[in-house]
Amino acid sequence: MINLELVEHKRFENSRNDNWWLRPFIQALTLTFFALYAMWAVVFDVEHHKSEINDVSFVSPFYSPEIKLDWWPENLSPGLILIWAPLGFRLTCYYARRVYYRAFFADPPSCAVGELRAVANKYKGETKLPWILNNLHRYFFYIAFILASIHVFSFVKLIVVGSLATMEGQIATLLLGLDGIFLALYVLSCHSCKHLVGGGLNCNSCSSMTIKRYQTWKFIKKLNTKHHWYFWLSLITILMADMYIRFILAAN
Amino acid sequence: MKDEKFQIKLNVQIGESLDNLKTETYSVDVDKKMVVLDAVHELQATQLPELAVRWNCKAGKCGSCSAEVNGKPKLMCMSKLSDYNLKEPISIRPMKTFPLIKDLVTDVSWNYEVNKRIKPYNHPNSSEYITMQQIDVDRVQEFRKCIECFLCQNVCHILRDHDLKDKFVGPRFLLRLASLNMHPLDTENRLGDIKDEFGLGYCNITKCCTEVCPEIIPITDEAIIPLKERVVDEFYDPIKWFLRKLFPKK
Amino acid sequence: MTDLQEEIKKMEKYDADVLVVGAGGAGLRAAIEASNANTKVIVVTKSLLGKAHTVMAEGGAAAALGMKDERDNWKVHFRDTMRGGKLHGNWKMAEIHAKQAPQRILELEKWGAVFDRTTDGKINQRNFGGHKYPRLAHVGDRTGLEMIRALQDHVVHEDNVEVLMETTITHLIKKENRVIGAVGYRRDSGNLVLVRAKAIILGTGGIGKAYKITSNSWEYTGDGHSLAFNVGADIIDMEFVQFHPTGMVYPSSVKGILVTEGVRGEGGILRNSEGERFMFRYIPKMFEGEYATTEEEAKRWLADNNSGRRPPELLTRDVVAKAILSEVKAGRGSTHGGAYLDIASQRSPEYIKQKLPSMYHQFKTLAGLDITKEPMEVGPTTHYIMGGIRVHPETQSTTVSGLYAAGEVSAGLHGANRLGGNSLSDLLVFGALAGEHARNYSNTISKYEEIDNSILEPIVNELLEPFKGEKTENPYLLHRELQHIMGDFVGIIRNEKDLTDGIEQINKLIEKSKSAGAKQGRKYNPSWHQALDLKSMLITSLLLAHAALARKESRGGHTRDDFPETNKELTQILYVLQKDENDGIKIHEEKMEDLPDELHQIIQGGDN
Repeated sequence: MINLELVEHKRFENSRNDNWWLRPFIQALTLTFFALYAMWAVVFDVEHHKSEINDVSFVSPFYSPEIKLDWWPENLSPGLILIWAPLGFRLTCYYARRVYYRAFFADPPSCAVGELRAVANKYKGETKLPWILNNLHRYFFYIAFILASIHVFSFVKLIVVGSLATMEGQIATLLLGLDGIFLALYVLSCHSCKHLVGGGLNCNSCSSMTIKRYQTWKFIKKLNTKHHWYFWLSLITILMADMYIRFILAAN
Repeated sequence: MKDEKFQIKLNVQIGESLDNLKTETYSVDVDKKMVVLDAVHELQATQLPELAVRWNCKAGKCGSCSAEVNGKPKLMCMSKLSDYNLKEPISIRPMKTFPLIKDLVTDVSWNYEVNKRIKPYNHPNSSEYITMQQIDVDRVQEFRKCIECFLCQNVCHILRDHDLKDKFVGPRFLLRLASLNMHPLDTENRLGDIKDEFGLGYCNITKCCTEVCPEIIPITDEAIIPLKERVVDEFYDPIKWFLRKLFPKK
Repeated sequence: MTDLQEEIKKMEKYDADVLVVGAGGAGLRAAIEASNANTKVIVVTKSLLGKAHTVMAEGGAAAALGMKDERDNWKVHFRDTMRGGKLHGNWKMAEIHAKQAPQRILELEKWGAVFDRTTDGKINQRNFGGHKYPRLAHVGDRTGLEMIRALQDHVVHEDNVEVLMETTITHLIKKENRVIGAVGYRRDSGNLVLVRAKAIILGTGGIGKAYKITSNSWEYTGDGHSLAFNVGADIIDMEFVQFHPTGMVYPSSVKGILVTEGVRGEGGILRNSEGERFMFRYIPKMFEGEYATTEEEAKRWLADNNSGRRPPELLTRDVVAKAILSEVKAGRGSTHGGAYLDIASQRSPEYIKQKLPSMYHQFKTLAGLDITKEPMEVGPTTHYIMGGIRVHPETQSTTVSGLYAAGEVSAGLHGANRLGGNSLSDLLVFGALAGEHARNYSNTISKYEEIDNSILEPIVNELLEPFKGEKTENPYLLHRELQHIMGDFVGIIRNEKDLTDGIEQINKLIEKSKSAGAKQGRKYNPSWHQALDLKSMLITSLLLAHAALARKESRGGHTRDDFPETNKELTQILYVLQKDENDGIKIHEEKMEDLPDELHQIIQGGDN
């Protein structure tokens, strides 16, 4: 009846007057830096991932837990044995997806800002490969849950075996402790975790079991609102712990 | 107590088709406590009587006065002038995702068509009164706060940039579907449709819908992602699939 | 062909067994009831579906479900409604309403509405002014939204209902005291619309936009009142306008926006600038003995709803509004001329945010005030009109055949003052009745009447009038003028001189409005819409002023400072407004039917 027309789409079209590009730009830089550093730490600088102070050995969180496989080729970094697990967890993380779709794919670059490829592209979202694989997040969650438990456990073990005897040991323990705590928080606050503990229930009041699950869900839900903080904090603390361990080696 | 009057500039997009769209700058007398919609009304009453703007309650309850203020999707009635730098003109444009009717008004009827495709709530058959506990309806109630301003639909890049209105229903209706799927009594099985017909997989959870929601509903975290997890339960989880095969539900 | 004939030819034409004007609670509920396989229904709404004024209703829907307090039943609800209406209400409607409201609410739940729950999983009910027991089924403070969504989602899945959004009906067409169709225009395209109908239901809501300080949206221009009046229907009780005691008073741009009575229902108290909780001084004779007389007693009641009597903040709206006005007049008003409404001192921040989320949000955003920490400033705002189209209590038919009315546009149920929460249940109960009887009526009509050009030409001419010739008056400014006249001369406190002056001024404005002009262009042109809406507002305002002049007493929502007392003789007197032969207003007195004894006893009776 009335003649209707859609407004034309232009690349990055927007009428925002703030620095909408700043956040995705910084996030892209940070993630790129971290990826490069992690690659260097895990693949190229294998020698320096472990330092010993007073017979207590501090292992870089990139390499923790240490697993020995007899058949693992000698010229391949042992860091690679496990790194796929946390990497997969982070790549399929709901928060990380938001960040990298925005920062690396500009899909969209920011809210109400036009895209690079505009209308005519064949956007499939997460309905086709590879992004449909993001639906496997919960499997990485199971593994990450075990890894995070080990990180926390090895932190406790460090203290037990006397890691606090030296000043350097104290700092290293603190950093590894922070790594363990933030990693644990990051994993526990994950959306899949929230769903599995109680988010899938429709009847919370049905039994004493469901009520317990509901209460846990509410707790995880609270953590979940800070999920993005834990994502970044656990990244930063891993980095710092790894750097410090290498720093001790270099300094001695 | 008198509110002080002063002048601001509005950049308003005027016109009804692509050929005659223009952005004009107007000076309007306002006082500091006003909202953007007041300024638009003042402009309409004193300088531009034919300016098309859709509004109803002016209290953030009906969701009619959606527009893009300085490029951000907003309800004009809930955007205080004091939140803006009034030395610069404020830009006001219609929602971009929907076909333009005139000036600030767009044709949002597509949304109403989508709602028709969603099966309504299905109450269980029972002659007795069925009780529901508050803890079972909290989530559903939060979703039902939606005032259908369609700002989330407007900002969603799948509709806005990729124009996939035939494949994806948008955040507003994923929220509606979540409110039905999580209803403790609804007897309809909806997950298959949610995955395929309504296009849940197209959402790449970039969360702009949540950012613009004037009712502050955590659309992404509490509705869309939980729906994605429920779809995983049903369709992408081999262990669950195996368990279902092993112990089929009676 | 002349231009007019060309226009008529271009009109969008529809046929509907039942035409429903208005898509608020009453209109949608009526449409659901009216439609079936054989009955095609068209719903016309001025705005988009789901935006009607019902979404702004906050507190709840009153129904004696007895789920929160088992002592409640229809008799108590009936009694509260009649007494709240200062015994001027239509007893038959009050009886039907009290009896049917519970099933209408339960039905909504089956359609997907999700009300707040009690601890045993039933519908939670809250206290409200004038209701003896907690009676309002609610969802936080957005009950109207919940209702309209439930109805809307139901209506879009009805096969035989078509909704015309953003369409205004401006004229009803009558043939031998029967309505046969309606004319209007599409706001979006500017096309003119003709609907032939066998029955028409008006559910157009109220008139609040004739006032400046109002909680009502732009849609409330009294369309239904003027449509019905223009086809000769009886209009009654127009003098009774409810001024809600608690509207926002600051900042000025949001003056009038509603602060739900739920704030007081949840324990909020009113104080003046001296910090005095003044409502204890304003308990009227009629309610003596039913309300707490000390702060201590009110506090006890708040704790358990049982020991002690209810706090005087929960008196009926007319009483509270006048009390606030008196305090302001006596120089004890708040900074911006209202009273302080304080819930922060009564409830925890968590409780307030859970029970009154949109109030919290509204004050935070619009006034920069945290209601969990500070008191709000509130004052009276135009809220609701008790009067309207006279309807048959059981069928909702008006005095014109085929024309039905339900909701705020109809009159009777609320008498001289409406209780909070009775409006939402009114919409459902009488919307359903109107739908049922309009459908039955339409089934008795075998065919649509032809509507020929001789009828349409003057109507189309009138619709397009604002575009013609030299029109110098700005319709927006005329509207502001009307709002000032209504506020100054037909406001909360009235007297003969003001009302006479007011009528004169409105009549002058009607003359002036004939030169109200619109900018060219039919497509979404608000200046044209405003010029046409103005006509309804002017007629309705005039009806209101005439009725107010006729009633020489103070009662409920009608207050005269030249007749400050309630006159018992006038309790059952109706002032009936009709159109006279010269298109003017004629008014006559009528006595209402007497109450049957058993209902009389319920009203007189004490506690049950």
